[in-house]
Amino acid sequence: MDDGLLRFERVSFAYPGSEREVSRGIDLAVVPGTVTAILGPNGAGKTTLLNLALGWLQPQTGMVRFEGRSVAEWGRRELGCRMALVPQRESAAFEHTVLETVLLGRSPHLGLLELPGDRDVEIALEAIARCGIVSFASRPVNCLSGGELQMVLLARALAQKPLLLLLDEPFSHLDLANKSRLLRVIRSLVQNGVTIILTTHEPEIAAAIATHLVLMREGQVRRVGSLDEVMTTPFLSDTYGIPVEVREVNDRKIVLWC
Amino acid sequence: MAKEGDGAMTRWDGFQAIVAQKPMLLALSSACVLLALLPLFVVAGELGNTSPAVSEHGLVVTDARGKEIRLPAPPRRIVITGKASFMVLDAVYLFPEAWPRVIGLGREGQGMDTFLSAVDPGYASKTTLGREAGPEQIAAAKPDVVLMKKASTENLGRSLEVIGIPVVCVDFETPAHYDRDLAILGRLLGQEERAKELSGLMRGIVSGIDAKVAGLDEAGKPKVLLLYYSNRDGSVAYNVPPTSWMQTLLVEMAGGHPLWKGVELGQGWTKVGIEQIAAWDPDQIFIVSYFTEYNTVERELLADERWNALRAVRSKNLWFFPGDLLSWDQPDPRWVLGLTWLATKIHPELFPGLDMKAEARSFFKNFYGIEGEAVEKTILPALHGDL
Amino acid sequence: MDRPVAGAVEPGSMPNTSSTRTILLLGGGLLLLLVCSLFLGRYPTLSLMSPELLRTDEMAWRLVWGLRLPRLIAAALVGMTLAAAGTVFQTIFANPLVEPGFLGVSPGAAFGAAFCIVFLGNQAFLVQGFAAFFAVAGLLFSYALAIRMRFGGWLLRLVLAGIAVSALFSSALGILKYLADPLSQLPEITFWLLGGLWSITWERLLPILPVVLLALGVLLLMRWRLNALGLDDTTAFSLGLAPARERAVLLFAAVAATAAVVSIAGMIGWVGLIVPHLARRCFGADCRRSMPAAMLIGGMLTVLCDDIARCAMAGEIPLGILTSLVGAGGFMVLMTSGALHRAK
Repeated sequence: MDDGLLRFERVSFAYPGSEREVSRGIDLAVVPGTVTAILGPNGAGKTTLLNLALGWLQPQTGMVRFEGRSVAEWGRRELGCRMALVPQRESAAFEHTVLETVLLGRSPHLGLLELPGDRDVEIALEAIARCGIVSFASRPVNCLSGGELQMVLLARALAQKPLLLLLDEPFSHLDLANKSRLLRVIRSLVQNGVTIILTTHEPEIAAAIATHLVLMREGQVRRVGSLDEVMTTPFLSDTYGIPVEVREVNDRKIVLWC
Repeated sequence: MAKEGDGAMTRWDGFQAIVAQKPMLLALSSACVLLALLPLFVVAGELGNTSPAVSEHGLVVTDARGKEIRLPAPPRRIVITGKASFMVLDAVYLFPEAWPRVIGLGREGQGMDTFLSAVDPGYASKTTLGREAGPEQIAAAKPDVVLMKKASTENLGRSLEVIGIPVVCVDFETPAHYDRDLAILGRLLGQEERAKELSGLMRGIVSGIDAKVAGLDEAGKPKVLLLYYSNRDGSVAYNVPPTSWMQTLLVEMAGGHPLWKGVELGQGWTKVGIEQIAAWDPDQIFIVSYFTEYNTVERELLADERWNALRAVRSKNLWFFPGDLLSWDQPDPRWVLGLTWLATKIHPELFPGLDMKAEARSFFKNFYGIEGEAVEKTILPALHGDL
Repeated sequence: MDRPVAGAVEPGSMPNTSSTRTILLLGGGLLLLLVCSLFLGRYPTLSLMSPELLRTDEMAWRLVWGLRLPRLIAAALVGMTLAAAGTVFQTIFANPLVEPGFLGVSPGAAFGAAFCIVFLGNQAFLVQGFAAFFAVAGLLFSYALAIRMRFGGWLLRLVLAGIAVSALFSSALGILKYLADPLSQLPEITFWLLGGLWSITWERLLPILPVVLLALGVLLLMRWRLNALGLDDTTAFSLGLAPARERAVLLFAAVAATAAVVSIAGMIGWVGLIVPHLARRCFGADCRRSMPAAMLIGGMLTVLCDDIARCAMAGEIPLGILTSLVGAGGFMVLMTSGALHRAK
């Protein structure tokens, strides 16, 4: 294994038919066991970054490596057993139950024609317990609130038993209580050896959970480094384009803006 | 998962486990079962195709499709069905032997009933099959043979053949068909003499007319237009028949020049507008109307100034095609009457003094064997059109 | 084996015993219905034939074996195929209002059959072949058109393309109806459009059996995977699926089976739309159970409608009319009633 679970090497990407580069010359390395927060304003290209990491989008120049191998070379199922995505939002057309939805996370471990077995159900139930949504495991998914649904999507990703977990703006639709719960879950995951990459546009979330920080603006990576190094007033002001102030209160960084 | 703790539980569990974990096994075994069953299907398919052995009383008939049908004995129970079966029925009734043998038929109209009851007193008691009689209903009538036109042989005919009921196809669409199909019926009913007699009569009428018109050149043949008046939901249309239909052939055989040849768009009546009719500028116009009374049609026509402007109308060459209980222009045996009438109208100079009523009387006597009161009371009163 | 967490929930995940049992019961019900329908008919009169008659009367035996049996098998297959295809379409398009024929498949088949009837004659094989060919062509046109569109996401483009292709085929069909001979061809076309199994024999059924059984097998085997294919592309990809390819396989199998079945039975509507709804209401949205349940319910529905079609009146009632009546009526009841008892 190389130094870095996930590496971006001078990656550039533009959507086919568009000239505007959504990601420009990205260089990034994610170390196992860390929580990396990708921070930046709307439209900075954060979701694109996650899609590139997944291998769903192919970069025009440069390469994305996972565990040393180019993502394009990995088999889909192999990669699915190691990397999981929690999407920002999902709409359900039909009334699948929570357990059925979480069980879909076992797909990469099963063959094309295989049906999930007892062991798969066990794993799904464990993931559900982990996320604290046991009490509505058999409720249909389209009856849930935004926060509950987010936990379901997280449980599905956990059912994949990934080494690397990607979360796309996971805190956007959550109230304080749910945010707190999600933070606890993520911390316990890190303790169990899962590497986390999450995108957010709120600096305080990053401050609460991240060990490393990536600041992005207009498709470019402005700063990479540990939380303490990167989360400072000048860097953040530069990233957001408005004056902000970073202060430390009770060992936690807070960000003041107006 | 609630435990129920009885033996059945574990069997379901085991089965479930196989279904869940070994889908390929399940798929493969299903495929094998199906493959094993396939020969059975093929045998079954063949089964329906066995025909009964021909005994010494049996007969072999080649029908209008060119297919050979073997019957174990001359048929005593005949069913006539399928689309437009009335044409076949009328033709079958030309053979008196057939009357008691027809045991099932589709009733297609009031006119037919009246006519055939006059011909055969036993007609009223025959079984009617529904309009879209299926093979089961036909089978329930236990026929020895089923007669139908070509249009019905593909679906209904095939189903009947599969269950072993012989199907003889006769078409009766053109005069040439009549020659062929009358012979088929004759063979089927054991009345080949009668078939020859009928063919001879028909050919006689045709050649009688042909002798006089054959020598005419193009200039001697009037330009004729034959139109079918249809009034559906208030929208009136005038239609011309396709080239292959009886109506076109009748006009040609009567020494006219049909203006509409080659105009047809599809396989049926083609609508034409008054502008096209005016462009054709026919010498004579013949109107056929199956459902609307001629008085009504005539009133409509003469009220329309565009029609009044046509040369044929002004020179009093607008004729309404006659018929009795059935129109004389259709491929029914009455086509010979239609032909004769057309000839007198298109070439009155060649056929002077022909009395159509007398012709009709002789037709019904020779072809259907009815005369006297039956004809006067039932058929002649129904005569309509420009006789 | 103890599952400590399981005790706290009612997992709807594993096809648990009683819902599997219900499905197997449904299967038994379908078989029973088939066997009973074999004896139901208009020979010698409108009645349930006794097995005695089968032994003594040769015509009865030939009727049952040569006409009724293939017809009933065809009816069951039509129902099963349309319901399974409907489930696939509704799940992949994540839209409860689509049915198998909508991507230009149904109008294409109608056009193909009418074209053949008008210009090439009424032979069964030709009509079947043309119907099947144009059904698949309709799908391919829709796909090709959707690829070239410059508007909207992939699924929206497919739907719009389907609408356009359907309209094209429908107007062509209108022209064909105008050109048809009103005596021999137009009634054929009309009957085909209304759907009916009245001319099914073994020789018409056998050619489509391999396609239909194979396709149904594929759909059944991939029924769990189908759940995930309704998710959006990125998520499906992250779950280790190849969304475009797997959806194409399922759609193609569904359309091939639908085309084959439509080619022998004509247009049968509503089964593909309503039966998946019914199955989901009773068995849950998970396709592991709702797909086989839909197939069995669909099969029973069409067999029942076919029985009515051939027995209720002296003549044949077109099957499509009956399925529409039952389907539309059932739809109204379904939508207005409370939640049906859900099989636990």
